[in-house]
Order: sequence, then C-alpha cells, then structure tokens
Amino acid sequence: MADHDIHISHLDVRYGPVRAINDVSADVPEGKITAIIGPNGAGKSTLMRTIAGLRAVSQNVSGSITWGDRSILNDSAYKIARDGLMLVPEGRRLFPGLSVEENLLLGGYRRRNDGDAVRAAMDEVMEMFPVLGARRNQAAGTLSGGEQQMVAVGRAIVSGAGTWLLDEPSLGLAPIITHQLFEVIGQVARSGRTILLVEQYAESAIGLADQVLVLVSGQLVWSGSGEDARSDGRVAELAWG
Amino acid sequence: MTDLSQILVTTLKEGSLLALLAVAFSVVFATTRLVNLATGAVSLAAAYGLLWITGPDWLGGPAWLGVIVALIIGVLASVAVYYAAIVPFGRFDPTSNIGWILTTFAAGLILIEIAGIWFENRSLPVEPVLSSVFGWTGFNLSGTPVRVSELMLVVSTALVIGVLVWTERHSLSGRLFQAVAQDSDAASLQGINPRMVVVRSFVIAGVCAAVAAINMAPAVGVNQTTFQLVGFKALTAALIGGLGSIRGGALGGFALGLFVAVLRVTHNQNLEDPLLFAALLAILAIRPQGILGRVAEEKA
Repeated sequence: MADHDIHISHLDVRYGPVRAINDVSADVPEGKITAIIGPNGAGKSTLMRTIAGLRAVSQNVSGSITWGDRSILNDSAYKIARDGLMLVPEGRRLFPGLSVEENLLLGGYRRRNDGDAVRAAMDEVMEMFPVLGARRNQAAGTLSGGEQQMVAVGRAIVSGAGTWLLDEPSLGLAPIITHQLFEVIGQVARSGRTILLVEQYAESAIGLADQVLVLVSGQLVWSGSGEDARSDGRVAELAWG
Repeated sequence: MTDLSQILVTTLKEGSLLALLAVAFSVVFATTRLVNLATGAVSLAAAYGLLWITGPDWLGGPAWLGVIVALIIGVLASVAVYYAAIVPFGRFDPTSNIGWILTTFAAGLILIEIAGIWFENRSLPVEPVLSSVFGWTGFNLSGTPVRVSELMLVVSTALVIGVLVWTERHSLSGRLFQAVAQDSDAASLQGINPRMVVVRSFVIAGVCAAVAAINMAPAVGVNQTTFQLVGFKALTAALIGGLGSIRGGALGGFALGLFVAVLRVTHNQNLEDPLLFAALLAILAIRPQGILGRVAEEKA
C-alpha cells in the first residue's frame, strides 16, 4: 500500500501576534482513525484548515506538513483536495443554493471523468442516508443541520478520497443523529481510509479512535493510542479544559 | 397604441444594452465579490475593435470580421483587467478585496487612455453591423419603426442571456460557477480551482460587454463618455436586480429600460437621473440585496 500518512513537524501557525498552533508535531497513520480533542479555541480547526491548504490572508505558517512523501504546506487547497485529501469543514459549508444532488455531484468533481464511480457512490450515500434520497432536488440551504451534515459527509464519500479530515461533524446535532454519523465514520474507516477527526465531544471520538491527540491552547499536551485514552480518565478531562 | 408600442420598443432597446452590461457586472461580482468598474471601459475597447476593422478610415474590413475582433478584444480586455488590477494585489480572497474596486476603475481609465491615444480621441461614427437582411430593413410596430439593427440588438441579447441562464442551471460549468459564487473556500475543498472559475466569469463579462458594444457603437459612435455613463447606469440596473445574479442583472436591465422608455414617451427625460436614483434607493431600502439577489451566507 502506498504511504499516505500525514506527518506534521514543528508546525507553528500565527494570526498576527496570536499563536494559534504552537510547535505541534504529530503523525496521522494511514488507514486509522486519529482523533484530535481539546477545548474550544485550542486550535483544532486551524490545524485542520492548515493541513487542507485553506489559509487566511493574515496567517503565518512555519514548520512542515507532508502527506505521503509530498510536502503540502504550500499547496493550494484545491490541489490537495483534487489529489484525495478531503476536509469536511466545520459548519458543513454546503452550497446553499444548489440541490442536495448537485452538492453531492460537486463532491465527485475530482473524479468527474469516472461517471460510473460517482454514480455508484451517490447511490451508496442515498442508501446510507435515505432521507437525502427524498430531498434530492431540495436546496441544501433548506435542510436541517443533521441533514446538512449528511450531505457534507456524503460529498466526501462521493469524492472517493482516501484521506478524510472531519472537523466537528457532530456540532449542533441531536445525539441520535450524532450516533448515526459516527457509525458511518466507523464504516468509512474500516474501508481502509485514513481519518483525522476533530471533536469537542471527547467520549464519542475517543471511543472510535485508534490514536488520540489532545490539543490545548495550540499545544499538543497528550498523545497515545485509543486504548490508552479510553483507560486514562485524564484524557477526556484535559479535553474539557 | 403608438405610445404603447413606442414604450415597448424603447424598453427592449434600452433594456437590452443595460441588461448585457448589468449581467457583466453581476457575473464578475458573483465569483469575486468585486464591482468591476472597468466594465464600461471593456465595452469601449470592444467598440474600438469594431471601429478599427470596419471603419472606412481604418481597415475598412467586413462587418462579420469586426464582430469577431470586437468579441476577442472584449474578452482579452476583461481578462486583462483581472490579471492587471486584481491578481497582483494579494491572494484571492473575496472577503478582503473591497479596496480593489478602485484598482479596476484605474485599469479601466488606463484602457480608455490607451485607446484614446491610438484613435486620437475622436468621437467616431461606426457603420451598422447589420442594416438589412436580404433587402429587408425593418418593420413597423403600430406606428413605431423597428430597424433590423435594433432587432439584432434584442435578439443577440436574448441569445447571450438565454445561453447564460441555461448554462448556469444545467451544465457542470454552471454548477462550478454557482459553487464558487456561494462559497469559494468550500469549492476549493472539492478540488475546484476557484481562479479558473473567476477567469471564466471575466470571459463571460467580456463577451457581454462586447455584444453591448457591437450594438451600441453604430448608434452612438465610439464615445468614451457615453460608454462610461451607460456602464454606470448598468451598474444601477445590476444593483436593482440583485448584483451577483445573472437573471437579476437581466431583470434590472429591462426594468430600467422600461423606466427610461416611459419617461421618454411622456417627455420627462430631464427627470431620468433623479428619479432613477430615487427608485434605486427605494428598492434597496426594501430589499438591500436587490430584487433577485441572495443574502450573503455568513458562517454560523
């Protein structure tokens, strides 16, 4: 199998004088679920956006991020996504004026020349989330939060990407929908994809993860296996701040 | 009846020009959140292209060649404005580029000056591109004469805008356009290159500006002031219809056309400008995003 680990080394991210990420080094191994947990404002989203290549104008970045054997620190977001590293961003970021189907289709943009695969993946999504089938032609902006998150995850499924970054997928969702979503994430992980998952709800993320990283005030304060995190009550505590 | 038909014809005539240019403003605004104040200048550049090819004092070439050259110059000038006045001033970021409005205005002025020097600042008449079809020069609509050139204006406008509206809804390019317009960052997270879509929007704006120029130049001559004025009026139309929406631009253009037509037929031309801006203020007070405009989505 090709090496698609993400290696983060001495990463610093600053907004003007404010340090959002402070000397973070971590490995995200291929084919595993890595969870990043931590309190609000710990820099989790900044880390995800930096890996995905989304950078604010006022942002300064140093250190290195490699994906496989390629440095992606200075790549544009669209190139990183095109090559199969997909960020499902915080707040879902659907195209509100486009229909559910069009949103999913755009998720498949990176492999638009493989129509069969895109169609098969669309069917898979509709099967996974039957409610989306019924709302196929509805504008994505009119969906409930849970349905929107399903479209956001569905977009990543249709993309066929091998590496997923999920930023707070459970934010604002009812517990039952969160549960359903985590089941799908587990399913995706078992299919051999690499997943980096950010969550404020530490327990459910720790329950799913092979590896756990705890980020507090931009610094990595704990890292270890999912098992260690589950047995060490301190970890969830750290995440609550 | 004459009044009614006169209003209809004038609305279609004035409305077509305004709609084309309003769509040019809207398409660029949709992908860049930027009011491209060089739109009138781009149109003027295309008009100079038509004059250069067809003018008896210049190359004296055939009208069809003039049309093609005008379209090419319109597209090149429009894309040049993007690369000269927007790209150098920072990373593409729709939320922080308000100041770039003035750079597009400056680029437009430079474009006009260059053309002015080359064409020695003369206001120059241009031959109609189409004055008859197999000898047929036009018809009478209940006492209002309609010339073939006017018919060409309305038909070419309907064609351009019709194709754009259809493409926006039913093609991959249209979906990419909407995706970048609605959330540029989210589009790049799907592997879409936003800059490619932005450049395409400048190409479309260039085509719209050129089609307007091809129809307008024979009627008013290649005249800097007129083109700039029509440009600003079209911006008003785009604001009324909803800046950023193709259909909004078209609607705003024809609404303004109707407004101008009624004032003209009732001999109230002198009220045109004050009433126009009063109407703009009234509409924006009720619907700040324009009639068909969408409220910008803010991150929750």
